[in-house]
Amino acid sequence: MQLNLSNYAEIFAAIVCTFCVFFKPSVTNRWFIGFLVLTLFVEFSAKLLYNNGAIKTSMYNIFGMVEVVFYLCYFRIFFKTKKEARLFQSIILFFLFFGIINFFFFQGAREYNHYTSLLGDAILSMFCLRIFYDILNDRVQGDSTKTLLIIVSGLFLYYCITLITDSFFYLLYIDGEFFKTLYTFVNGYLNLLLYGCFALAFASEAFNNNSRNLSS
Amino acid sequence: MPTFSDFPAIIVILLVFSALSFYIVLSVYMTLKNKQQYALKINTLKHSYEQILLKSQLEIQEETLRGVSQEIHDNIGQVLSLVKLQLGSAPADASEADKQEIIEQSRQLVGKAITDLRALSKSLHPDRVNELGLLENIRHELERLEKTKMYHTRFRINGSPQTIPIETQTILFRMTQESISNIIKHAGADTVEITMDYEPQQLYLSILDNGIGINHLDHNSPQTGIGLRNMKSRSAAIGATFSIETAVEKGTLVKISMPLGQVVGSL
Repeated sequence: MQLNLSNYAEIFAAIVCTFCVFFKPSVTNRWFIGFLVLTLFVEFSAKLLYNNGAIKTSMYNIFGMVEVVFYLCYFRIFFKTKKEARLFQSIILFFLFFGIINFFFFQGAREYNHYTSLLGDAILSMFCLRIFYDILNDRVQGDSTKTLLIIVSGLFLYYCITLITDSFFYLLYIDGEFFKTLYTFVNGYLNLLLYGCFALAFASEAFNNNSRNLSS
Repeated sequence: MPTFSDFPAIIVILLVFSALSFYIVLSVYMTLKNKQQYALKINTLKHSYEQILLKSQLEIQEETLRGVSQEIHDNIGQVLSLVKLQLGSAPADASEADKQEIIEQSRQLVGKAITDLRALSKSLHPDRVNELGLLENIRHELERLEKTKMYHTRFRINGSPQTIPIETQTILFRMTQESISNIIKHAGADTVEITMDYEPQQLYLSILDNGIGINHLDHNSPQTGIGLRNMKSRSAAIGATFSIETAVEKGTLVKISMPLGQVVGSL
């Protein structure tokens, strides 16, 4: 089983997160440890299932939805008003509804659901911008604003650029080799950036003397 | 039908979007960093202002106590000593009329001492600036000078007095007190004139004496340097400007000019 750069980045982030959970558990670390374990499980399963493209694609489709929902739920803990809680719930429910309909009825399980992926990219990019705005206006509650800023920076860069690659997904059917190379190249480095930001965020929160545990 | 030219387009768009995304993230970080630096600067200025205010309040209290001590020693102490002397020096065989006269004089002196003590107790009020206000306090300081019979004083108010924050009044009063103290110690003057000009947006406070002035050498002496720096830093703390016009044997004019209507200290 050959691992690529983004796999190593994911493993590194998971190790840092695990270390931080035992050294200085915090809300962020506790939230992400389960998600990172799931990420590694999906990635390694996909590696093992390299001959079974259909199952691999289905797995990625479902995991893509889980990813978006997870990040939205993580953002939710920093916004405690009822109005914002309703907004997050509505967006999550809408996204899940769209994703499930697309998975079963439109693009199907065997094809990469890039419409769902595109919607998730757009939603997360917009929420990241919203969080930047709230951080700049001191409206984010809790002591882990720095951690949130690092995570949101990574997510914003990842999903903003992935939005472009997903928008041009039709090129896969025109020149599959070129697009696959481009997509793999871009996605690999974006993963490296994203999981690097996660690792930095976990370490920053664990080793920051002033950080305290958030009430969940 | 898409053509091959779509491929360079996606790369260009990717690069542009990546650059834009990085720019947004960088801008957020730079803005947060600037905010932090600004907040630190504000805190430093606020701390500095609070220190100046506290120092001014302490110095006002010290000056008050010094004045009280002097008053007790020079006036009240002397009066009571005189009463004691008078009562002690009355001969045993003095006539009833003489005794009554001595008693009456002593009574008057004791009455004066009581009056002076009452006036003193008012000035011992811990928050006299807050209680009496800037104008009354300046008036009180000039009355003290007049009482020594060594100075002619004059206090003029032009325009309609406006409300000034209590912290600013404390600092302005301390600066006035310090100027008067300098006149007593160094100027060799016999006239002190304080003027307060209230204009719609500006207050001008000037303290004029007819003393020996400050020559160029004195300007640069350590004592003068510290005093001037203190006055300048106090002016800066309340957003005022401070200047001195002086010439040898031609007196000194201290001018403090402060914009009205601004809130300082609550940064």
